[in-house]
Amino acid sequence: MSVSHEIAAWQLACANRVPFCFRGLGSSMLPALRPGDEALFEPLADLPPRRGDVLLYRAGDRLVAHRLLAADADGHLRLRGDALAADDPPVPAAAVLGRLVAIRRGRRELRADRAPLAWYAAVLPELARLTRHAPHTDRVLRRALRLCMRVAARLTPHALGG
Amino acid sequence: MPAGSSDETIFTAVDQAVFAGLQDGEGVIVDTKSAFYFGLNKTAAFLWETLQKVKAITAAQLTDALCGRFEVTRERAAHDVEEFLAHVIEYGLAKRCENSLNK
Repeated sequence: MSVSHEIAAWQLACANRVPFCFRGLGSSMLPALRPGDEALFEPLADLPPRRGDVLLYRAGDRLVAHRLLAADADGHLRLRGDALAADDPPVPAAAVLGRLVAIRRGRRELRADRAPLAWYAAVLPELARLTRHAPHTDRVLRRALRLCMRVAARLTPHALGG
Repeated sequence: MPAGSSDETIFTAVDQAVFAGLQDGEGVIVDTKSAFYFGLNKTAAFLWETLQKVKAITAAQLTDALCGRFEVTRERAAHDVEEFLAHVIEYGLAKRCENSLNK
């Protein structure tokens, strides 16, 4: 699937007021989003992107879905895949297509504004801020977070989409 | 011929599938029910547009249309149509009915 197909599909989905179903997820957003998840995005509309949102943006010849960490004063956005150690190159706000509203995992649909996705949205940008200059600490904390989520998923599998 | 179809089988596009053509002749379909999208090459985009325009069409008629549009042997066109119809049926973008067009 070329990016022109994806952009056209995005426009078509917006014109018909349906979410855009992105199926090109790799492993960069683990553990929140898994390869094989169907990620549903909607246009930002009047609501500006918020820290912690997973945004879909165009980067050259592909679409990327990563989490918003901060907005710089010059209008560029800083995003990062949850599983990655480094930020993406600064993203112009105009390159952003939409925001994650839900994911489909098997037969279940998990809303972005509810647990567990909302937890990741609240915790991960703060974690990235605190460990910006301490990559080793960042790795350790991310591992601890993944472990916590795994334990929580075992305890409440339905609520956590485990 | 897609499995479960005969020469008389009529194919129709479902309403929930919306299409947009691209400048290079390719296209995309979005299923407004599932939100899935599908990229189409030039041949598939042409076949889909024909299917949508004619509303009810047989595989043979689609093959004729394809031969009229592209320089392709009938055998190859029939194979492409078969493959195309199998996919759109599988993904729920089109449906078939056994009524003959001539009845």
